[in-house]
Amino acid sequence: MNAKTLRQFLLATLLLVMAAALTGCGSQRTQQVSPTRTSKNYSVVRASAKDTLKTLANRYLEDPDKAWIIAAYNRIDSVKEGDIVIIPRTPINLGGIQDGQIQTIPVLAYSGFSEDISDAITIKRANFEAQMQFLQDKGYTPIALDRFYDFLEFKEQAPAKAVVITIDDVGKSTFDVAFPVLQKFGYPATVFIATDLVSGQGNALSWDQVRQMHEAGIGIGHRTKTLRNLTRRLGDETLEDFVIAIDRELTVPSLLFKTELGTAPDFFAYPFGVTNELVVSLLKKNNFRGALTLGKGTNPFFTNNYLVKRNPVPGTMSLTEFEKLFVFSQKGESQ
Amino acid sequence: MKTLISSLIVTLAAWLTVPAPAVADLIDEVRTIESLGAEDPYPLLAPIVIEQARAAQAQGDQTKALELYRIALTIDKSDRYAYQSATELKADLEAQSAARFKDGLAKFNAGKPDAAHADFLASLRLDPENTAALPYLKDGYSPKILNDYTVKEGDTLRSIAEKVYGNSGGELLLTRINHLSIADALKPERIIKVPVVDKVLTSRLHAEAPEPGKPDKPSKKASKDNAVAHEYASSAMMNEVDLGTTSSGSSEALLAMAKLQLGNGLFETAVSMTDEVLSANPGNAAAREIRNESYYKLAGQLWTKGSTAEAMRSLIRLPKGYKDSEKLRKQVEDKLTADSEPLYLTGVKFFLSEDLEKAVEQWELTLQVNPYHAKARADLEKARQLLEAVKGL
Repeated sequence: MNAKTLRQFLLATLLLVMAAALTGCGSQRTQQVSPTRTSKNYSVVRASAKDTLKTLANRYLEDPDKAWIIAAYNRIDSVKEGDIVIIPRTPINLGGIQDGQIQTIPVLAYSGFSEDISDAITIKRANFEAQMQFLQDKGYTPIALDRFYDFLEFKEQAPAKAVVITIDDVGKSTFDVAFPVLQKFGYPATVFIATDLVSGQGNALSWDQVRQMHEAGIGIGHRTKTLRNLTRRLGDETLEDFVIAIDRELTVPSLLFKTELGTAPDFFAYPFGVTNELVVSLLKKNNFRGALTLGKGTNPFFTNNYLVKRNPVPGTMSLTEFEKLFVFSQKGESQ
Repeated sequence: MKTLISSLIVTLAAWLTVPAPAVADLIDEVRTIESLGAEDPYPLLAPIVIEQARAAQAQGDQTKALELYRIALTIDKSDRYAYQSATELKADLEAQSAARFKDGLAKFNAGKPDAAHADFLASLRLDPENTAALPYLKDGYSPKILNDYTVKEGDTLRSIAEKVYGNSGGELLLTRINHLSIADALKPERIIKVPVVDKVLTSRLHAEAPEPGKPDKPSKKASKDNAVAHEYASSAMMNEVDLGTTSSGSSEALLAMAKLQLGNGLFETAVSMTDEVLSANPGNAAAREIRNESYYKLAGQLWTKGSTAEAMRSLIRLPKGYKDSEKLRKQVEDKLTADSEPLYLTGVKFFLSEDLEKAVEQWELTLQVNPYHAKARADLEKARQLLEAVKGL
């Protein structure tokens, strides 16, 4: 019998003896055993027959989407009656800072979609589906952009292999191809929209379609009015005109979003992925929570909220190359 | 009963002396207890949690130990040992976190941000409720967005813009960022925020050659910021993909999209896309053609809508003699003059009767109606300077 087994045997014996002692001693008293113990930081719960991870998360964490926290902490996929579950009620590892490693979250940036065309910016349906299936098979967890920002702001934890899906919309294909595939997998995503491009004519999205996606839980982000490169001042443009033009590219669409969807977006995607300090200062002044570039790489929690990296996913990318985008940690610098 | 207690003690002693397997942790132990199916598992669980906490503490993993003591307290609020241990650990971790932050801050302020980074991370890990390090990690490792400027006697937003940007047009930017209006007086010693105005940040972080086709004229302030940006570039490691400049494939795709937008009547978007292509390949004739066509159609659309000044803005971007644009241009110029000249002349009248403020007002109005009125622009500048000189007396 090795040390481990001996130890377990002794533990079991100890427990049995204690159990006997306790039940022996207390048989006169009626035992009112609460199935739950709760404090500010934890709840320790004995699951009833009706409990699931989601119902437990809803009850103790006030958010069924936090079921993953319970699953991860207890190393389980589901609960059954009699299971003892420890539920951290406050974040226990913000930022995913461990000794020597820091959690990072990759963000994907898709542009065009199509039923059957593949090129630099267009991915065909079958390939997009294969990529979403890949995420599922690998156990990667797509999270919504606002959850990602909760992680960036050091307010909430994110699942160990979290990823973010974003789409820089260029047309109706977002609605026809991307949207149904995302729904099939139940994956959250954010579509960044340049409002001039939402004309409803020809191949463009219509506001009705944007509304449908929004109501189905797809995040809608801001991507200017005319898709102008905000860092490029035209030769004959005065500095004053330039500032007015950029500010207009931010404020006019926000008003339109409010009219069409009832809210203005918190998040911004730079046209062509480029930015500078002037643009960032105007974004901050206009109360955007964050902005995303097209700089490749992955994001630790301390990434600047206005310089989030995204990996473009060209339509011609193979699954092997796709796999390389998923970097979930980097060397830490603790101790 | 006595025999039960003694066998309990014996088993406990035996169990504690056997070395703990490396792998079994709290969750493993919870599984074991689950399998016993006891009606009240908590008294069984509590000592195990305490034992685990002690082990973590012995191994130096204070954060884990605190976690476990807190779980123990959750199970049994009256556990004084757990309470005391948790309180002591929390205080110790808080102190360590504060110390690491202090070290990090000292290094950061001494110009050693890379060395400070580890301390900042450690302070957050030790005490996540102490977020003092967070703003430094977020904003201290990319170039500054805003600089502070302390107002001096006699400063106006215009004069500050002139000083900092070499361009009085920066006044508008300063009003927006600081939520001021042009008329607001500035008290000396007040600090206003001055945004950095420079080239593409993302390219500079990559520290490669400046964007093709862009004139390189950094101001003194900007080159200092650039040096700072370069220093951080290696740790920032931003590898940027600029859609218009990656491969001809993306340029082609962008061009196709631009054509589509033109066809859909989205002229400004078409221009945005062709501008992107042209920044990489200034000689791309197809892009230039789409751009010209877009500005031409946009001008016509704006003229019909009555946005005369906007129409002019599009027209001046066309090559001379593009289609019948000269005809339209003449029409637009005539209308602009007709609308603005009376305002300009009123301004002149005020100027001649030495009412500088009213003259400035009229000429500002003139430029709002017709930004291309060269005389109004020149005279306005003169009058403003005179006004500032007068106010200074």
